[in-house]
Amino acid sequence: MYLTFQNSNFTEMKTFYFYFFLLFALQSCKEKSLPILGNYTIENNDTIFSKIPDFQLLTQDSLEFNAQMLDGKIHLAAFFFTSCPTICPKVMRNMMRIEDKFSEQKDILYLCYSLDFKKDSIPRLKEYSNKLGIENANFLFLQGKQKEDIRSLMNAYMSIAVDDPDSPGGINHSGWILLVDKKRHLRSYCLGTDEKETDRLIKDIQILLDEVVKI
Amino acid sequence: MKLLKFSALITIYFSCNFSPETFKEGKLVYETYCSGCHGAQMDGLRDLYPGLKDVLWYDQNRSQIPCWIKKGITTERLRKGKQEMPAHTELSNIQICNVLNYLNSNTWNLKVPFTIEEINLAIKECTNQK
Repeated sequence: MYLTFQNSNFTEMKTFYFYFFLLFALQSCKEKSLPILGNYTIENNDTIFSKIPDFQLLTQDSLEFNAQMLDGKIHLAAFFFTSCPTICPKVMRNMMRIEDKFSEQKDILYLCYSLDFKKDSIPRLKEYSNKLGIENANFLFLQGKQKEDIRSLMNAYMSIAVDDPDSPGGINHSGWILLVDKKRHLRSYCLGTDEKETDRLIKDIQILLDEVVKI
Repeated sequence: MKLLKFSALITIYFSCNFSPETFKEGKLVYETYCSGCHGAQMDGLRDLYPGLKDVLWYDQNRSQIPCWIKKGITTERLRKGKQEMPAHTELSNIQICNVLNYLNSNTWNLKVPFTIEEINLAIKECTNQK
């Protein structure tokens, strides 16, 4: 009697564990996806997520670049300036590491928005890109025709910049690297100065690339 | 005998592990002020920022280095068209000495370590120059 009781308990436990692990296994099958970040409004029962606004800028090759060119491509964005001595070199290093990782992907844009309207002329940006040995035509350094052209975009990228003569290089700014999807929605970001954080962003980029576009 | 061998191995392991600790002040200065551009591994960033591993060059220009750190390197005095280096007036002579000895222990392995007298002299001459 005692033996049968023990036996039945044992099988029960076994079934329990079986379902427990099955649940776990199924859980991992669930498709991973990234949230849409930023503010949203609700109009006629539809949720409208904020997106990167329209802009018109110039690349390091003095070519026009506007926000419509972002549609249908995912992009990574960072804010920098060429004479920045503190965080920008680290951010740039990680940005190039990401580019290296996804060099096969032709549908990713890498945008570096210059915050120094006075010093960072187009030739200076070109020189900077040459010295970094950038070969990918999708790796762009952008400057506006007016200072506000870039500063006004920062809010959508959840970044800030303040002109501050006391900070190194004269501009105090955030060092995020931001990931934006094909519909210009912000999907993920990381601290661009941190190598481990960037590794996490690289995983997020892969998730975004694998994402099936839902209509 | 086995125990002796084992303890010898342990000693070697720990002594190797601890030796960079001697330069921890210099390491801290390097990580705070230098590694951003010159890289955590001192290999620079492509053609933009120079690496710091060129032993011969640094040995030849030894007396100039403290000056470059303190005063920065302007466009006219640049090597191979690199980015200009900002001045680090906030660093004391002792900090400069520490960071150079850290670099020396880590990369250059020059026979003569940097002394504070040497740094003081270099900074003084560099101030006279300007």
